[in-house]
Amino acid sequence: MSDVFDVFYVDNNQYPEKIKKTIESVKDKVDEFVQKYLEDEYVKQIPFYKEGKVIHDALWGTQYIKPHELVILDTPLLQRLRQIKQTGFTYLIYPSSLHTRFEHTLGVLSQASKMIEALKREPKYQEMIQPYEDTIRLAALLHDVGHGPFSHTSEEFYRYCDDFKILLYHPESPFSGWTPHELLSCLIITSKTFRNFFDTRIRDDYNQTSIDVDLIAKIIVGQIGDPLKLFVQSIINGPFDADKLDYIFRDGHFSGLPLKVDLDRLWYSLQINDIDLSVINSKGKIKTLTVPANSIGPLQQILFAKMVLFSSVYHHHKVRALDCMFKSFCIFARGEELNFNNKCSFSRATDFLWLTDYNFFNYADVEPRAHKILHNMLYRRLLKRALVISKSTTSGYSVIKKYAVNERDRDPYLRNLAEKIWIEAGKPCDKEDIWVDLPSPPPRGIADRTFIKKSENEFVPLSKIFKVDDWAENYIEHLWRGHVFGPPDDEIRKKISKAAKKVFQEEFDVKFNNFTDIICKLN
Amino acid sequence: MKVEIPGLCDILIGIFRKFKNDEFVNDRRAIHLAFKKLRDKYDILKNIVFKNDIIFPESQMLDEALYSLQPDFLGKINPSFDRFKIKKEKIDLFWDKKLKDRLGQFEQDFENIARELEETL
Repeated sequence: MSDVFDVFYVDNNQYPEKIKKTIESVKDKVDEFVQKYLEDEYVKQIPFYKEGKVIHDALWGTQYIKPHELVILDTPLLQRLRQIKQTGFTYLIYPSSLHTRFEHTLGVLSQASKMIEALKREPKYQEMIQPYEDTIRLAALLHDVGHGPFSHTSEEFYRYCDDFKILLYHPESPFSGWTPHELLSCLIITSKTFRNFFDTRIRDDYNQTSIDVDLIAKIIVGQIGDPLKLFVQSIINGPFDADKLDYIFRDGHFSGLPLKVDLDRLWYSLQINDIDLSVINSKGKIKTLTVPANSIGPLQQILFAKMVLFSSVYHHHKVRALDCMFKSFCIFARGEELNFNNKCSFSRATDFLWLTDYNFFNYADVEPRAHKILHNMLYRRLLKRALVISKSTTSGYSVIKKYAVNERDRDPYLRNLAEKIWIEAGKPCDKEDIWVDLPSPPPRGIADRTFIKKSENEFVPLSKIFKVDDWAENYIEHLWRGHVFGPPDDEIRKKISKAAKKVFQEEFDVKFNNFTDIICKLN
Repeated sequence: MKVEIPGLCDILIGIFRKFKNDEFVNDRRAIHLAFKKLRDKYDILKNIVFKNDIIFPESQMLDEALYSLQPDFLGKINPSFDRFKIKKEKIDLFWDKKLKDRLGQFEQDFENIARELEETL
């Protein structure tokens, strides 16, 4: 496998012109952002810490932060994460869900360090993990630095902006299939400005010569390259990584939905092993994190907790309605050329780096229509369900669910469908107030990448023992709901509901029963 | 107004329609590897994006498409979930009603892809 990271520091002519140009332009835009957020004026105010500090977290308690980590933590780049809520707009549904990416970042550091400490109890693992400890800790601190406002809410919009459409969806792009915010984090960390900052303030000031900036970025995007270092990546970006452990506990806890994973058991059972990939009919050898067969309980708990979070929190219909309202605003702002500090035109993925949850709502003062949309969000005058697409409301719902796939042209298609409904309903409201929302399922594959030690030198993927991914998928399948959203007014929603049923029948040959009207309170 | 249909699910329906057997193994690694190879060979599959991974290349898009086709066009056989079941009757009906006109030109590709997949899965 060639090293896609070459693209960050050498002229690379192997990609088509269109991709090459986009990479260069995105790199420049990201560097412009990093320059602002690591401006000398701010950075020089960060002291030289002689000692570390302890920070208290509501979830994991007290943790120690090393002096050089405090410098990174003090940068506006990291402090910006205090202004981005971890779970987007869920706080308008689960009122205590106000935790931010900053808290999550510290939580990931806490979980990563617990994983490392657990491994270090065994001398042979200590030898393996020690050289990478500081790199892993910084990967934990920096892994979400590329998030935009409301975290995954904006990510679902900017992934379809022209620049990222090319980088993420063009089959010849070195970044195809990558997660949008991880790509932004990676571009920030590998930017010229961040490297300069790192060399002077971390490497030189603290003599941290063992920390590898490229390795940090590779860990974050899951592209470590060397199969014998896979265990290093797995702590931050793996089947049961520190990121998942923190967000499952944190999102569950602050939503008021406590989810249990037996972490003590997981720490106790953690191992690093060499696995011959012939066990999955493949070639080569990897060195990765494993757990013994008698300790797979926590892994199953992780998977099921994730599914519960998706169905109850992330895919709650009011959360989805707010996500649609966010998109409405972005489309409006792009059309009206509302521009924040001349940086955010809402048309490039990199524009969203300039926004946080705080300054996003400043647009309310810019323009009357913007004021209306944003105040409807802030004061919870939300779009409501006009139609529910589910197993219980229509027999042919797979025909519609086909469009839940995150394909390059999915969103324009769904916007066209919403416009058809709007016209069929007699244009009873603004076009941007009607949305067809078909949530994508949570990512799967954990069970294929988790190796279980059956006996000495015998390893199998978790999926060969228990089909946990399939069980979880089956569970969420029963809870999957697509929606057509419209304005809160009942009479308008009735019109939209009727029109949507007609459009879906014409388009997909699908009929709805009365249960949708009962759920939407339109009967 | 012309609605452009995106299409991995529709493409999969075209392919599964050509399967001689109505079952195939539910082995995620084998499925993803097979589609990765075929993507480099057939233009119709070129928009499936894969992320390189040390263990095997994975496509979230393919996962989502296989998930989205369930339960009407595709099912997993209980209780082991070891095999997928292609719901031929529904696939044929949907093809005739909705896809034939648009995707009929790719029938030979679907046939070839189905043969290759059947050999692998």
